Amino acid sequence: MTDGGATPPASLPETTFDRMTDAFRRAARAAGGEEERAFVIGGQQLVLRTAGPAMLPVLAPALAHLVAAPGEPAGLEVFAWDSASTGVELPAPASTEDGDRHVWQPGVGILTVLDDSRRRAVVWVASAADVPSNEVAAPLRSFLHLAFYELGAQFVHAAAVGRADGGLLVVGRSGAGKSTTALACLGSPLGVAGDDYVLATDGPEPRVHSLYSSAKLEPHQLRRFPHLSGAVVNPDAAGEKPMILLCPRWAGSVSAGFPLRGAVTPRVVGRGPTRARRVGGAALLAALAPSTIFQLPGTGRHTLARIGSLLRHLPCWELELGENVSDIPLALERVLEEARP
Amino acid sequence: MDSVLAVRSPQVISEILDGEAVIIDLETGTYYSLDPIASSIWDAIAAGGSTATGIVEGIAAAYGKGVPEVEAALTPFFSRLAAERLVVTVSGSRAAPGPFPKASANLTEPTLSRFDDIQDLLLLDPIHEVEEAGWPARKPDPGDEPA
Repeated sequence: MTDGGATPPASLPETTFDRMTDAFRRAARAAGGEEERAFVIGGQQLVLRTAGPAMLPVLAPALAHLVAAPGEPAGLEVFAWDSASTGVELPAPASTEDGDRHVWQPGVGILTVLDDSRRRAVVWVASAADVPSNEVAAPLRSFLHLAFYELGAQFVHAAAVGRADGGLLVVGRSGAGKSTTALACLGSPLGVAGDDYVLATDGPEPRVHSLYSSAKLEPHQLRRFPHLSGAVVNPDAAGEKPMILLCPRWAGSVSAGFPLRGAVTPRVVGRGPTRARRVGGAALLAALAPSTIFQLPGTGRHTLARIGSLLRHLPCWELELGENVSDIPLALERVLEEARP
Repeated sequence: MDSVLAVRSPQVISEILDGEAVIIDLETGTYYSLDPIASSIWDAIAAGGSTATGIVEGIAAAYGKGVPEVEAALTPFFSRLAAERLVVTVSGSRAAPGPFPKASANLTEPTLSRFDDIQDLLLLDPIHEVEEAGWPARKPDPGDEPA
């Protein structure tokens, strides 16, 4: 496709963000118009605008549980395009200091440019069709982290499960059992607010907000959930973790968020009953903070302090995952009962 | 043993929760967890102005032990902190560290556990803030400025 509707501007915009939005508009014209979707994330209306439909399957599926009615004012706004479907290439960055932030993920080929308010971003990829499923499972991470950081919420590498009146943050290193713990709750009285990333707010009433209704599992973990194997959306993708979209099939088990009553770190034991024991918060800090900090841009001392403060407000448990995954929801309900204020 | 010890800031960050420190080296992706006695020593270093000698004397007082015995127990830990590039020696004014909490009934050698699992993550999905340098390779666009 050529850049049919793309008339170069008389003079280039001054900031990188404006250059990117200018390119987005040309891409939308070339693709026959904009698609618009609205979501409510962490209490903010996020409006997603894509140049034609190509980027929707990349950015929208994992947010399906947070779809909102259009027409509300956008607290957060994202413009997205790809070059392959629109013919509009990535512009050169402005050479002046402009207060924008430019985040590049070379491994997956995604560029995110935020304006100086951090509430608007333009996302570009060379080809929407080539975006790997781990990005589809958790889109817009850089933007959501930086935007919500300004709003006082922390993007964290954790799962979360619970009821409307209270739930638990589930933290752990890769392979520790976060996804196993979260997916074991599908169909139980506990809702799943996320299996890998959630937003958390600190303070006297800490709270978790759902970001994504997706789940990723190692192939050997998938064998513990045979009823999920038919829902894997990337069965033929070599080198990628099996990815599951929970909506619409398990929409009733997905939670938009809840007050946080505690935090657990799972440990796969594989035999005996699943049980919890109280532990200090340092082990959970070590399991949560480094993987959060190194997966996100612009993190460091302040992010570590925020995560420390969040965990300081929460009682913590180690959850020994025993022989049967079906025991997990009951063990978590016992923890919630113990954590009841 | 008389130089002032300082955290290698800003590359090294830390937080203490429930008396145990977690240290992160932002340069390498390596992170560490410290047991309570090691955490109390780290806390003194992070507060600024502490020398190894001052820390040894403070720990000796807390545990009612002789300085030579405490020095023998703590020297490997100080060496490890330096080898891991978590601390540096600086020329600054010295300050006696505050009283050390007695982390356990008996004095044990402080331990520091190192974790490298994040480095795999960094290799798998690196993330960079970029300006003109580091900008993604791109094809020319009709909107480009003339050369």
